[in-house]
Amino acid sequence: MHRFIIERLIQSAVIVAVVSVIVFLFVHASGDPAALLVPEQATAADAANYRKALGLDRPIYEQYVQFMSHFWFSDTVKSFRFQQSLLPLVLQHLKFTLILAALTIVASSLLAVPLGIFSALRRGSVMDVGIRLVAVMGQSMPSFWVAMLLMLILAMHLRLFPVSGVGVKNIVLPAMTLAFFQMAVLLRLVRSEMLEVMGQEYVRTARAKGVPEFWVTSRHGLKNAAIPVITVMGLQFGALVQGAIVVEPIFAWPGLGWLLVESIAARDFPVVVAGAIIAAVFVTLVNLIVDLLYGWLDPRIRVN
Amino acid sequence: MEVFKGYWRPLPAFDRLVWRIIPDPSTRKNEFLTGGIDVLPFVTPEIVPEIQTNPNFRIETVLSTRLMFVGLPVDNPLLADKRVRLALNLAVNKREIIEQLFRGIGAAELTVPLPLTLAERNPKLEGYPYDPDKAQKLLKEAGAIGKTITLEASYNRYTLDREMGEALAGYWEAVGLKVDYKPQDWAAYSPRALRGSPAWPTNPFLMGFGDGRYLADYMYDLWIVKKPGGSRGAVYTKGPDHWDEWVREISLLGLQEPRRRELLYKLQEEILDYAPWVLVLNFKDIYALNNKVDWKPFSNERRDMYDAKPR
Repeated sequence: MHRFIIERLIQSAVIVAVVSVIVFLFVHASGDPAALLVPEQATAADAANYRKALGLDRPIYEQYVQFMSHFWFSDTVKSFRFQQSLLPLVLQHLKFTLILAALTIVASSLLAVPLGIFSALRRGSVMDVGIRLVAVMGQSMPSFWVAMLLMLILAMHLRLFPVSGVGVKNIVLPAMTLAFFQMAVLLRLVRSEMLEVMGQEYVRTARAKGVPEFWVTSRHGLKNAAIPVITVMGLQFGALVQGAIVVEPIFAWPGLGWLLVESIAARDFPVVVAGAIIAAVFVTLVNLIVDLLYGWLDPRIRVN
Repeated sequence: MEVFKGYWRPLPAFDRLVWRIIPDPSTRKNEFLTGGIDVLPFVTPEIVPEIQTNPNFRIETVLSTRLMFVGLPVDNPLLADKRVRLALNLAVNKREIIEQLFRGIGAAELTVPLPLTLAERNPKLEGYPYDPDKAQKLLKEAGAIGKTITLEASYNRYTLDREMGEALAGYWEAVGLKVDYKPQDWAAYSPRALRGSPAWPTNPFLMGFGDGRYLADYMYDLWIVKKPGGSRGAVYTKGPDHWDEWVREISLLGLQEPRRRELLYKLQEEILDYAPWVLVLNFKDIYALNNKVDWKPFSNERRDMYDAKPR
């Protein structure tokens, strides 16, 4: 197990390094941030001087080494726009995304699991068809459209929640938006896993032994169906960090997605690269935890 | 922001001012309509009726210091002919752009090569009329009918900039040109158009200009004067040398000196005749305000809230 963890950590470090190189190169190919940061009346010479001040006149490999060596442990690498140290800036925004992602996973799971079980147990019924229809809608509707719809109905017309901003009530609409898609994915997975598990011989044996249906479903059915569902939940948590890029700006939720969108438009290279690195670190760590969790949940799966 | 109690002037009426950063324009509008914000700047014209139907809100407009024009690089083979440059101006129905795109309230016709807010604009000038027949005649004389011209513009930088460019392209096509319209993201567009990074465009480009200093020579210093090492005046306009001398002299004169105004009036006349730009419109900034707040917007886009009072 320790060897597995160490190997995965090394793999994760390689992945993060590759992501950082790719993002760094692409971001530098996208344009000149100095030209955007100087005032409109600035001349080409002014922009060139500013490029030099930002260190953008140096060879790209030198810029990369400078960035990576200072990004983690010093505050000398700063955002072009905000002139703040990178790591605290990114982590400050990541905090909001993690809160949103956590709430989304909880909300989507609380809905998906019972609905998925119900749908599996009432296979072919009108309710089953209805639930599956909701799942298809959840996976088909673009998140920005769901966001606008929820804003229109729940914030504008019914005035149940604020339109945007930060706060306990403010998080509900963005979480619902993201949860709609996540719930659809989980619901279909729960349903298919339950259908498979409930058809197994040991479930039939449990019923034959006279075990009440509730315990057959929960202890024998759900417990085994939950293993892949939990792993997918974990993977979705990582995906949510990226998925929030669309939803956060709509609701003015100051998460990492919002920061990255603004920074890409402003060609704030350090923030874009730092955000991508942090997101990559987070996703690879989550994947590692999910793998370990999977092994722990299912005793049959042990890694050499 | 909270009021500083030790301020030497009378304290503002509000103790606290909250600036909300809301990236999405639709969300901003919704936040205003639900009372989440009290002052909404840069309202787009199409949502004005929705705001006006609510008795709790009102719309305030102010003539802005910002204008829109199309730069015509005179090195472009087609644009080197003044008749073509004049034709591009005469072909544009500015009134229709304002009525249709800006619902009649978001802009005014630009009649001089200066923001209309400036006291130093020449009052005798009436700009270019809308005369598509004359435009077509000039293009025929210049042998430009059927020629292709590329119009570059930004999107999401100025209010309805992309749509404005589409309208201009339509007007130019109506008088016999073929127009290849290329809207671009501001981040890629502005370094090229403003600074020639990586290269100066050689096509007409839609651009805005605005300045809160209310100084006429400032715009000409940026867009007319030819400076060594590459300047917009040297690359695009390439006007006569005496313009450079006039702008230099103007910048050294006091605002009340008659010579300053005399030179500025003459310069505006000559610029209109030379036609280095298509004059499009001068913005009117639209603000939505909650009736709880008594405040007047400024033409220079500043949101100075010191004088804001509750109603």
